[in-house]
Amino acid sequence: MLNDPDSLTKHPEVEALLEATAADDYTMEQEEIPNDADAALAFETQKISVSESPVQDMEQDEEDEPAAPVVVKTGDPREHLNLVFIGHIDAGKSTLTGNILYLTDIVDKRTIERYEKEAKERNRESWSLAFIMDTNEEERAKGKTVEVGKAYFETMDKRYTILDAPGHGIYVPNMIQGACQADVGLLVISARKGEFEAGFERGGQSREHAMLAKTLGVSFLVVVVNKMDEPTVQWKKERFDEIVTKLRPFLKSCGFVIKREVKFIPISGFGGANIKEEVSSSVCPWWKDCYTNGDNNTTTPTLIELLDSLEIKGRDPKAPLRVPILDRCSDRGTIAMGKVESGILRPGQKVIIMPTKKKYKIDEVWVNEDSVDGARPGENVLIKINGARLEDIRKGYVMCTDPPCRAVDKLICQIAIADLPDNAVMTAGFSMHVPRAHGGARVHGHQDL
Amino acid sequence: MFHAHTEEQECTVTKIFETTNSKGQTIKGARFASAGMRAIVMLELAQTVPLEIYETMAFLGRFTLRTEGRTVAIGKITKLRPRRKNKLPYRIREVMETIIVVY
Repeated sequence: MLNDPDSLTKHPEVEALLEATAADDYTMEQEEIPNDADAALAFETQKISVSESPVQDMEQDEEDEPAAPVVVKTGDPREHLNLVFIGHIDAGKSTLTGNILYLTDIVDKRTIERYEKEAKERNRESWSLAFIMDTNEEERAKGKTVEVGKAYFETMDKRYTILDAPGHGIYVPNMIQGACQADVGLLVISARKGEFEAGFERGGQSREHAMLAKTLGVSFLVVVVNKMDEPTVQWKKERFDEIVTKLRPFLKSCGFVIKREVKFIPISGFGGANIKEEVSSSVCPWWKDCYTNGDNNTTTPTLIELLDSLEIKGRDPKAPLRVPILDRCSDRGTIAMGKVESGILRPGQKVIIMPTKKKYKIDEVWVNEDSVDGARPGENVLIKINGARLEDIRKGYVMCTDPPCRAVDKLICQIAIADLPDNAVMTAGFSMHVPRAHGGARVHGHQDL
Repeated sequence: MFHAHTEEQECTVTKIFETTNSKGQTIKGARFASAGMRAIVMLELAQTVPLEIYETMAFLGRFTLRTEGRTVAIGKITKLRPRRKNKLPYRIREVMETIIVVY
């Protein structure tokens, strides 16, 4: 009987119950606004041709005005990429990001000079570039990144958002949050003697970050071999080759297709060689041969050219909308923050928030603080949601259009086990909890006062 | 912790279906899995989480398992419970069961 619920509807009690809960049942009305630009255009012209046919003899001028094609202003036409900088602590991630911003003229000379002075006061001159990204006092005092830093730069072909992840082991949850937005991972490896080995051995963050990057969905991994200008390295080809050969099998075991998805490039994050301008051949004679031959999958001389040459696949503007929500805030209404993963997000669109299944209308969409008429996949957006209270939107929720994604608490999955605590084995009942400093407490009884 | 897209949630392994060790030997109905193995398992989460199967939407079907400050495993979702066809909320099914007992 349970397997055949229809037979049950014969009973009046069940029918009454069904009717009472019918309102809770979720149904989505037909989407009024078509999903992609072409369909919207076709839709619009079709509507007009229908309305035009009975009134053909009326003034043509007035009819023409709405018939003008709907121009969808999707902000900047250049493609947008999210880059995440990952790697072991002190590999030079923040310094490299700082230098990229400086070389692409986002940060001016005066600011750099100010940071240089500030770094000098702390007797840490080499940290001056990292200060661009590490803005809070704690980060500057210790010279390590804690929060995921965000910065924005652009080239002729593309626009980029940099996410500078913390390298320290205890901040890995912060790094995961950063990396889940990213399209391209830049694994920063220090070439300095001993530092590469420390980052790569068991427990080193180079290892863990590379593995996490793959599962969090980066399409490309650029292995940036940093600190090539170090006295212990001196742009030696042997050192670069040694690092590349050691990394290859490991990255392969993480699931990267080396030939297609992994690129290797030697740079100097502090000096700026090979970031925007190629290293001079007197310092590094072998690099020119290396990239012209296409060794190590790299055919471009500099990091920025390399990033410009990457093509991200799997971005589908025609698929149903999916925006995993990263954060929310309140500013004359509820604003959600996230990255469009698929579909096109437009103001006026009706969306469903999973897993609460509540329906809302989008009021406004911002990309880089500009209000836009549509955000394509890959854009980081701020979304103003009509009618939602702050509590209705939470980190981890997903904004969808029909058909919505699933909300589940049970799943069957394929896992690759990397590391288990205390060499234990995983059995049924193995559970993973929120890391807490203190254990839970239980009230055993109470006493009247 | 179960980390997928921007979500994190507590989770428990409720069943292990099969394991494959580094040599490629597959054991069906295995009791345990250890480091270096691949496994097909069922996970139960503390709360419902928006997810998809890896094949249909990769970015909602990938996840990481972490505990005690390190990454235990990485994985992809292969199966979810089928969409409810009769659209009856769970509580109604409970009520139905009691009705069946009565009849």
